[in-house]
Amino acid sequence: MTIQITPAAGFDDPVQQSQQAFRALLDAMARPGRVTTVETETGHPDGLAPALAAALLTLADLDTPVWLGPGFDTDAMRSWLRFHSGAPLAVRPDQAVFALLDAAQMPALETFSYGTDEAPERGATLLIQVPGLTGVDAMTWKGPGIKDSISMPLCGVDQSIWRQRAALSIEFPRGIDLYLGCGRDLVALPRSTAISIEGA
Amino acid sequence: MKQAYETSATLAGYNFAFLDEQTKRMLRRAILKAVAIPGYQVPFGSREMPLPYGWGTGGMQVTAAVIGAKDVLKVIDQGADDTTNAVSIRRFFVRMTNVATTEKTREATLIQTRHRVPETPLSEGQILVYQVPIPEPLRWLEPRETETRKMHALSEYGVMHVKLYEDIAQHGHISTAYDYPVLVNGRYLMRCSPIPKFDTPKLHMNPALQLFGAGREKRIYAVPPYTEVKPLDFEDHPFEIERWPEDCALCGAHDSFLDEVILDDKGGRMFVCSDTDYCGERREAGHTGRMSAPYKAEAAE
Repeated sequence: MTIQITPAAGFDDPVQQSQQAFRALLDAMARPGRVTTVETETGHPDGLAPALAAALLTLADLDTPVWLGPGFDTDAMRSWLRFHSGAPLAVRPDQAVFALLDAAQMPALETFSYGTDEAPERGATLLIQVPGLTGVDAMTWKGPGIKDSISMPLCGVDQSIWRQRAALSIEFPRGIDLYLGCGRDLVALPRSTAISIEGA
Repeated sequence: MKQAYETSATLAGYNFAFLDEQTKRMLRRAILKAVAIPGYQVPFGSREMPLPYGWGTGGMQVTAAVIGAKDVLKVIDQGADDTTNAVSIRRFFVRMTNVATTEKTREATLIQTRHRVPETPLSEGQILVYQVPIPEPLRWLEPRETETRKMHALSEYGVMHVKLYEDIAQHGHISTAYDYPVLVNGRYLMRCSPIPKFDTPKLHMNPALQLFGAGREKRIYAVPPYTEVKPLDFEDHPFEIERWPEDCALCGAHDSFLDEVILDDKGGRMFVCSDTDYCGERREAGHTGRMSAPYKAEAAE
């Protein structure tokens, strides 16, 4: 058994690097479906995509409970997140402002907060680590930030999860916002985007 | 791997872009939610800035959360780069971030504006930050925040249509000339800050990201690129923008927003572009107006 003594590194220069990472996150959120690269270097625990590590270091702090999903609820991950961000770890997924999830082990979307009609901003942001952001197009995304429409692959996320997400559109403005991360690349899917799955 | 950043030239004792990092994270989270819910006003913990409320503290906090060392900043006040509010905010960010600044709309990556949208069309990758005094479009019709919040939740905007109808009944036309109410992405009623209604159509399907910050009222909202922004109107009284009896007296433009300038007490007046960069660019390209001297002569002064 190995004991993790020191957490993995974070940003070398938090002020500048978190700003650079934020601009990538903002660009991605403003243009759903467009692959955005988080250029800035960041330390990260083994197994966590640098793009999602940068997102957590940029956005999470003591005001934002983070829920670590199956596969990420490890000592290395917990100590890294606590050391760098000070974020409390959510016990239940519905308490989470941010949730870190693996595409292969996704819980149902309804386990997370959608916010309320009067305060929709309380809906959770899910950071989903995916095996890839390319592949055979299987979905069409439409909405603010997308000029006409954009074709997207399933990105390694199960079709049942995409179906849950597609059904969420009628709840708008309640909903959840997603970031899909692979390596240093990100794709955002805000709740305002309507998705339709081919053959579904 | 270490990366070196040039931050040494900013004012000693202050964090980059003035605000502390926790405040920036709070602002950044609010901005991302605002982009995800177009037109919805996200509450945030507005901070005191080193100038009074009403001078653009909301826009400044949004700019401070977004700005980076590589940005090129443009600040305008009523279209002009050289008025007090624009000059002091630009100088503030230069001292706090040491970013490059410009007066050219095309060159800017980040534009903070008070009450105008630049005439030069914006492009993808640019961010326009509006300074907003009152973010709530229903505020003068319903003073209670609890009620307006519920009205937004239920998409209950009949009261605004009644207000526009009363305008028509009393004046024969919709008399709202600035801060014209719009519906964003078919869902949220939004106030586009006191821009003249001339600018309202520019928000629709704009390729740039538009962020709105209200410091005193503690709200941030956004219009993502390529988003439908529709002014409220009626089939028999469609939305119209204002027109002027003359062209710009300096550059001859007939497609830009004009300010009226009184010249004497005998009824003398001229109209000039409110957007100084647009007007200057046109004069540089050789366009002239009714009262303009040749551009070269002015530059040689």
